[in-house]
Amino acid sequence: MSGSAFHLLDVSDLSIDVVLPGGRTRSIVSGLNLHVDLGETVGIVGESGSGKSLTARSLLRLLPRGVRATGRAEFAGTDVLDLPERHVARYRGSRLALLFQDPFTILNPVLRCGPQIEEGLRDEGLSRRQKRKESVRRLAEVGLPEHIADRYPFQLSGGMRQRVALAAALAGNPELLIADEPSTALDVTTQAEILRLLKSLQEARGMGLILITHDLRVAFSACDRIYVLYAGGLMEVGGARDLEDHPLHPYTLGLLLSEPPVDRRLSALVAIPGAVPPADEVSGVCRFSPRCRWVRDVCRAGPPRLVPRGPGRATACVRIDEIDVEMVALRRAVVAPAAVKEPSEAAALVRVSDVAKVFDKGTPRANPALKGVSLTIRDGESIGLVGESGSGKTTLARCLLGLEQPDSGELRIAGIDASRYDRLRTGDLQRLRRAVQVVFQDPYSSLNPAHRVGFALEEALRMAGRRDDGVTVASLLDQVGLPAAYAKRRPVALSGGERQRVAIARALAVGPRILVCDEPVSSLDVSVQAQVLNLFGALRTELGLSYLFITHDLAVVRQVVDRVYVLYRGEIVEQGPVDRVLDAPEHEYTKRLIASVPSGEPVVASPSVASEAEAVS
Amino acid sequence: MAEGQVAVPTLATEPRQRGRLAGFIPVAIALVIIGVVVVAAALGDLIAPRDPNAQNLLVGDVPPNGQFPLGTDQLGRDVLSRIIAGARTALVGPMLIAVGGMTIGTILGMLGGYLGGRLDAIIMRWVDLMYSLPGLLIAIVIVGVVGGGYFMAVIVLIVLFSPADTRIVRAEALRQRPLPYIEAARTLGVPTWRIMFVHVLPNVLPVVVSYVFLDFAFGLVSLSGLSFLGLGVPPGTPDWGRMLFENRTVLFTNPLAAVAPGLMIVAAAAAMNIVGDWLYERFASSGAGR
Repeated sequence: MSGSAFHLLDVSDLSIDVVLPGGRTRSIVSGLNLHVDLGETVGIVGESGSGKSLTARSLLRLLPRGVRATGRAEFAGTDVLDLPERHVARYRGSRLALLFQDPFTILNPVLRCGPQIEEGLRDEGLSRRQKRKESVRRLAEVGLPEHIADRYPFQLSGGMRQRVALAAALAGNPELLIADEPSTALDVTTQAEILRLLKSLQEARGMGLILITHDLRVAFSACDRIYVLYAGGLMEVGGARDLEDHPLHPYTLGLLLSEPPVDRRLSALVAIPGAVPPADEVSGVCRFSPRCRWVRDVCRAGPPRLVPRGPGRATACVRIDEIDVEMVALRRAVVAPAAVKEPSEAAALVRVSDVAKVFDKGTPRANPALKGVSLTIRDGESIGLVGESGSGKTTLARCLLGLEQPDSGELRIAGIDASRYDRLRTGDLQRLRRAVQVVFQDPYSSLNPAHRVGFALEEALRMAGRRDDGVTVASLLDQVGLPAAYAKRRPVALSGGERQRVAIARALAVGPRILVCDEPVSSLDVSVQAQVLNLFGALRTELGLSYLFITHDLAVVRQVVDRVYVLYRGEIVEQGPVDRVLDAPEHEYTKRLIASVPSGEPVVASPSVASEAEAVS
Repeated sequence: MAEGQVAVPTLATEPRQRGRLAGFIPVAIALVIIGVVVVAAALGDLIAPRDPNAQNLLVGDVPPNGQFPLGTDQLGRDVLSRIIAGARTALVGPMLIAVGGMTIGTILGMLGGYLGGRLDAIIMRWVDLMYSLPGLLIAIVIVGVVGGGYFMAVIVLIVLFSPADTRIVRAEALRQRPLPYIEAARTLGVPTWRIMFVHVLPNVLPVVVSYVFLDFAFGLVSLSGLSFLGLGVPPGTPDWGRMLFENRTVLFTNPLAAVAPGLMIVAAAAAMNIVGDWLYERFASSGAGR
């Protein structure tokens, strides 16, 4: 499928395996073919377990111990997998560089930013002054002023750190930059800026760029060509626009459908059933076959190869000719939008009046998290609380749950004064605990690893005294779509989506009237996220629950919420029905939030000087 | 974000599995050593070839021979029988020290780490105070001045070991406290004592267990050290530390009389260490303490 004979990077038949004791191996990635040209942006899109990060690391010879890469990866004619260890250091940085995901651990905390960039400069024999000058020039290239060179990483925001890390990665003037989820850990508005910056640097330098991401929208907006990776194998390759308009693999289609759209509300998302399997389990068949609605025996006959189909495109689906029409039809069918529930006239279930909270009060680090926030949640209403990290949204949730105490203001839940949980009478406290429950963000720490699922649910039922109502562990599991046999499992044996379902079941055990959901889907894979969002929708219809949905993801907000409050630096700057706020935002900050959602439209490269209005703390 | 969470655990299991296969040989050896010591401590008199306290001044100190596999000490007592008999003090004391110290440490550490506040401050000041004392020296002074022998030494060592254990358990409890599953339990209205024992403790347990074994090893060495200095067990008792001290005079005629008990102390302490580490790994891989 290659047009020209020579590519900047030409990977063929790359396999990555874990070497087990006794010489056995377990496959992580196999049969990967990929190429990148100078001046090209290539996306590798995949969910967790797809092997995308290890692929990037294998190209830089940064695989963890016990993990082995085989095949060929020719970079300008040299096979980098075969490069002697002593040449690797020179090759890293000067030819190929990697930008990592997490801006908070990427920089050395005890070094100032300037020296961290100087470290990577390749011109030996530069004087100290010249080096300094050069590093300041590099900072300007990523849109940062000179004084940043003298700052320590902890003095900078996440977005600024990512810029410094980018400058450091580019210090050796690499011909190819691999960016591994460069914007995932950042706030929405910062994400868009980093992507624009990456794109403009790639164009200005004419280098190749591999963008690794789990987010199709990000890939569509920034990449020329996209490789779709699933459970260690390529599913589909194609131009970004082609892939978006007409996917040629059921998995790509599934990803597109499970992505909640930000511009309209759907009655339900089309989720891919199940979870991503370990690569090893599906390496002998079509990797997607266990979750594919079009699966036939032919799909399990053997591992399908990537077959070219049209210019620059290839798919690993062996049945594409038969199912293409159906896939197109399915895509058309699901665009039916749903109406937002009419504004509720019900009584207020939660009333927050003028709540304020300052952390580290009376110290120089005093940090006002909430500055007089008021909001109302009516019975049966689903409310969104939108804001970036540091906006105070989680603090407000914790105050509602009694995990934090507001300094002033009043919280009333179901008629009970919940401002001070510790002063409540036992009966009120019990009523309160049964009225409001929580679902946390991280499914991996939401469940106690020491307890089986059944034990956790049993305890929750006992706390609510509901064991006589006919509510059982099995009925709770059923409610969240899990088989009753899961009661015997330990959390380690569950996938992220399943853990989140158990966490929801635990919250439902006490028969709450409102669920406080703190980013409940943001650490889940896209395909699983759609399942859980659908579950939230179904539970609401079934149980008449209210939600306080805390999230930074406006697409999620659009799907599950009736009214939105926008929180910015501890203050509510805008509120209203979800359609009104998202379609016609009034406040400057809301407008900026909405503008930074990757829409799939190509990113316009920005001038290299940042518009970022971040203050150095 | 989700990528790392799934990919890394699969990788992290690899070295552990490799370690479990190749690493089981030392564990097996350690278990055998501990088994031998336990059997000797339980059945001492029954399996010892001779009476450990029977003196045979006519024989005097002789090197190993057919009659005395490890030779005799200067009073003509059979070194092998004395080592077997000495297993009892080598096992019981350190076990009491390890379990006792860790029980105090777990209670105080859980209280301080989970509840926090003024109670935590008081507990930690006590820990700081204990850290500032030269531990073994205090033990020597107390046991030397007050007397009380072996069990006094054990009690003093329990008190001396508990601050370190408190610190370790407190750190673990502190780490658990802000985790979502603990907060979820709080939101459910689970009583504090139940959160501490049912939710926090099982996750602290791997550390507790592995440190019990480490404490045993240190306890054995400390106790033997006190015996060597003539504190603790009364003179003449078959005790490895005591034998090390008494038999140094026959080092040139029967070196094994002093070396063998020394080796036993090292072997038993090392074995406990290895088993402690191994148990910790097992706990960690079963999901607790993750």
